[in-house]
Amino acid sequence: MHHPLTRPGRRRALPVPLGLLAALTLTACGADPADEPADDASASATPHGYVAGAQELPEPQLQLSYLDAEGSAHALDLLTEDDTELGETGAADAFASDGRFLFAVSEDAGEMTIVDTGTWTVDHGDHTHYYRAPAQVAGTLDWSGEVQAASSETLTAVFSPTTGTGVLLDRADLGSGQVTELARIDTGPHRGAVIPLGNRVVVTDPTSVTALDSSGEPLPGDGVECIDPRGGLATRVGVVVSCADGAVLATGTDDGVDFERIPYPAPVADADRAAALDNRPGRPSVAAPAGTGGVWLLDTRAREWQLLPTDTPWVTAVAADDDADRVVGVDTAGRVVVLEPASGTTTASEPLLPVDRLDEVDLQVDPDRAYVNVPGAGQLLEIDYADDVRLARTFPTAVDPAHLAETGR
Amino acid sequence: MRRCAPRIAGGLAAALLGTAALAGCTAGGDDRPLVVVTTNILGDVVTEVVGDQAEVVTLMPAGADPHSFEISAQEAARMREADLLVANGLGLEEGVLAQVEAARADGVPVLEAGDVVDPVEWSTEDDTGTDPHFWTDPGQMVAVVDAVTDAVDEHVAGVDTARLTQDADAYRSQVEDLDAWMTEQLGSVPAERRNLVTNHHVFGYLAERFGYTVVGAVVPSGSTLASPSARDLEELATAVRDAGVPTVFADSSQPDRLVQVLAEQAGLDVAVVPLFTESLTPAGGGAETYLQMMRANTEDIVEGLR
Repeated sequence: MHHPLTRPGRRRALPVPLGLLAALTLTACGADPADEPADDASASATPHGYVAGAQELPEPQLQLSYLDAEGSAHALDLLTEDDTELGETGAADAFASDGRFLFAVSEDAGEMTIVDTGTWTVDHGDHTHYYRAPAQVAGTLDWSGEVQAASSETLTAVFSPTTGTGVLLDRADLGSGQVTELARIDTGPHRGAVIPLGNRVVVTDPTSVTALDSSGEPLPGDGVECIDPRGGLATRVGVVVSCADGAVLATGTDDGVDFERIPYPAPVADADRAAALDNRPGRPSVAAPAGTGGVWLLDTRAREWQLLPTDTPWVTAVAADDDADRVVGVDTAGRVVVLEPASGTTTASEPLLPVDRLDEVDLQVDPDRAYVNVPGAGQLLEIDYADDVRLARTFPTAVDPAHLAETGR
Repeated sequence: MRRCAPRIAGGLAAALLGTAALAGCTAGGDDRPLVVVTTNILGDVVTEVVGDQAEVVTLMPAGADPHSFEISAQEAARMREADLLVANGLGLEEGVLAQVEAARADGVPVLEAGDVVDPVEWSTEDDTGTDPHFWTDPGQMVAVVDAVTDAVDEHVAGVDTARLTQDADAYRSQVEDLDAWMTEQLGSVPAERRNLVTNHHVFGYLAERFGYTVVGAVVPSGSTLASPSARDLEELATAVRDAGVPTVFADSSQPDRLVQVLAEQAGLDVAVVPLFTESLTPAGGGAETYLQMMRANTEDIVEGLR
């Protein structure tokens, strides 16, 4: 297990204020952009706060943030239905989001542009706080290939499976328009993961999972074998990584990170592996398509896999983990589909999505609704997934929505 | 008819509102001894007890969030010069905890009000803790008034004990009057309707003291209310029906729409009323003092449930 590390100096990108949006926010009177509370949920003694300019509101400030292929970024406010221009990122060849920030990679420019959508949520255990501040382009990073992004309260990690480069960023700085690299982790090209876990980070290489501190130094103790990783995800419980023989679950302890194996119930063919774990953020369960015959559901709290057969092949599966443990997905017929594990019942919408562009559809699931972009049709759809997959609202978009992320949560 | 002032992060609110306490701070203080208080609710109480015998600096601006307000380096420096530092404790002021500890390490006497109250616990699906919002029970605040009086007498040099005792007695009797009035008012609500259906998380002490039940409810978000289904309202509607009350005490971005949707989708005729929770308001906001905040909430609860 070896992670060649380079730790560059603090790179400070100039914030690019977005006049248009600033004019729309109540507190945009020349105040600094919002900072991010730097709080590790497991250590509430850590001071946290935010720079003047953030406004606290009684409910999540949910936005559908979307970009076209040329990188024109917009946000549609789910409360007011107003559409706002966030800025230009340059051609968006690859895209990811952590629920607040957007990460758009322009291959020609050789860089990733990071956009702060300006809305976010902080969980205090017994209650939650919701914030809004002016949106802005936070900065750029040299980048090539695909991008995956994930954040804890204090850290943001981006990873390119194409090049095997992971970069760890200070999330509080990112919230004030500064791109501060804390560490760079090079593990070679593989479909792995770099995911923050509190103030630490869980990192794969082609054969293992390990944990590093926030400066990229390995934590004491061994990692664990993970042959041929296929991505990972943060859950309420910890960080879960997909491996050839099942999952590895990393959980934080007082002085490090513990790893547990959650093997598949029986050996699984390569094509049927859970390769794109996805969930409603903050929930313990994750889901993924299982080849063409069903979906995987992994409860990281119970440490239990379930293989659920489906009538049609699914291209995306997201664990909503609600009162009925619903799994929400998109199938190859371009329908939004909802599976209830207890009964095995599937409910489907009408075909809503172009079957030749399903790889561009980003399915987002929150406690109440699911959202999809309709590439080529200039539409975002709001689906009430627990009410018979009802199409609740249809939003026209200002530019063709090639990428979608629900932000403010 | 929302009564909660929009909550604005510390620095900006301070700049906009320029509270008297902060103005005193930025002016560099005076010759009197210095008492620094973290939250504005306690700031009001300490000011009433101390009178003009000491300079009282309140760090949390009106209309701010006690969990996350932060202070300037200058304010942190004044904390460390204080003759006495009064904090809420019980994990409330996470944003200034490190500065409180730094001041304590420097030898500043610290009174954590949470240490003298009788704690109430909260729990959720996967977490538990001690509820820090003791001020919703004025009986707890009487103990805090006494603790503040003792701490000022012990640690703040130059304070005349007789005057301190007189001022503290006068304020204690006002808090005791509040307590008696709330007991009478909240007791006038029929016993079967003493249920607070709410998304506020601060009324555990009030409920415990006055024999009420807090029915925690998720209020549908504004984005859900745009195109709601019956299921979206099921939890709240069930809570309201089970509680048998005509009022939901909640912060909602769209209270009127919520009332309308509850009527249409769930056949419920209810009012949606916000309460003051964790911060005093700026002048004219309806909760400029601790006593005013408590009386306003009590009136709204009684009117909403009677």
